[in-house]
Amino acid sequence: MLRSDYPEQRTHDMDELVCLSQQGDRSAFRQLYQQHCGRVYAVCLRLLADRSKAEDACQEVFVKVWQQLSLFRGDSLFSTWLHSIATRTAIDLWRQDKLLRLATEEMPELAGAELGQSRELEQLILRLPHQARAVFVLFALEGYQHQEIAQLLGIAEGSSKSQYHRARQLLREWLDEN
Amino acid sequence: MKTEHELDALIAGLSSELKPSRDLWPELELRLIPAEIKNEEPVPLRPNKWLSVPFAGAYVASAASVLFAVTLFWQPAALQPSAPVQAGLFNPQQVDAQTAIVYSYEQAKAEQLASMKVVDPVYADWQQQLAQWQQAIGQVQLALKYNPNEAMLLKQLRQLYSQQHNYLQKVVQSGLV
Repeated sequence: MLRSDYPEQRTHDMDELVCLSQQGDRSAFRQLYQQHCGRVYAVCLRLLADRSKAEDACQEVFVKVWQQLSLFRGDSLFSTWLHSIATRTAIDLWRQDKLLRLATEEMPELAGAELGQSRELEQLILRLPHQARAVFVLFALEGYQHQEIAQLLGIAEGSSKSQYHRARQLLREWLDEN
Repeated sequence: MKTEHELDALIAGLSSELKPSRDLWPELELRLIPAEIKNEEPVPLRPNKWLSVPFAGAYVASAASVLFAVTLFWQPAALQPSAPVQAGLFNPQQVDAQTAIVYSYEQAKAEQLASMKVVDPVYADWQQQLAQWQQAIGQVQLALKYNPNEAMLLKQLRQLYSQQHNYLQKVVQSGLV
């Protein structure tokens, strides 16, 4: 489950949709949104651990994509380009959230459809401490390396590694309790 | 404790996609400004003597009198929350941000209520709780009538709906356990 795992058969249709969207075709952009929304929402929710913020972030990502579509030249896959915007937007909001989040804030009760199959682990990821969660999501689920994560989050590479191990340790403990 | 291997297996089983609990497109579509509009040069403001300080007092006085008149002749019917948007008639390109928010959350709420079977006694007063949120939502909608598209009010409306949505989700989940 790394940074560009979209099925190949989708890519041809996607190219056409991207071209149409670049010309201002909203219905084509809607199709792009529908194809990628789940992936974008997943990274937003896992990083921000808050449904409402994740929804806002998801919308923000697609607004940015729409605004920057003319800059997309096709040097990489559209999905890769979009996902890097999604990750950076979610991280920006995660950074703001780090300053604002109250320790007493409740975790969201997520619906089954939101979580997919691995409901238990998904809920536990949202319970992880702020920084450990971000490192875990970026390394284990998004396929970034510790060096990249350190740059993205503004932390030392060693901290990224230790936070990742802390996250794994906590998840293993919690999974055992449940 | 679970082994590293078992944890890796669980991580590998996580889905790369998660579905939002409501349709985000209607609100999103309203924010998609056509490129030609976005790239237009802003028109420079020219100094206007009618906007100068000596006239400010007169503006404030006339605005206050208009507000007073509106308050005086306000119809009680207008205080009611706006009617739910009919699904068949909804077109995001023809509605404002407020309607898009209301539509999106009301649709999600209808789905939540439809999926509700049994309610845990802890949430016995859920209808009262919901009514209180609805009252607060009504107040924000009332304020939006005076200040349509005011960003802070729209944000408040979205937050109230979001809180109501999260609460209702807990009520629904309580009946599934």
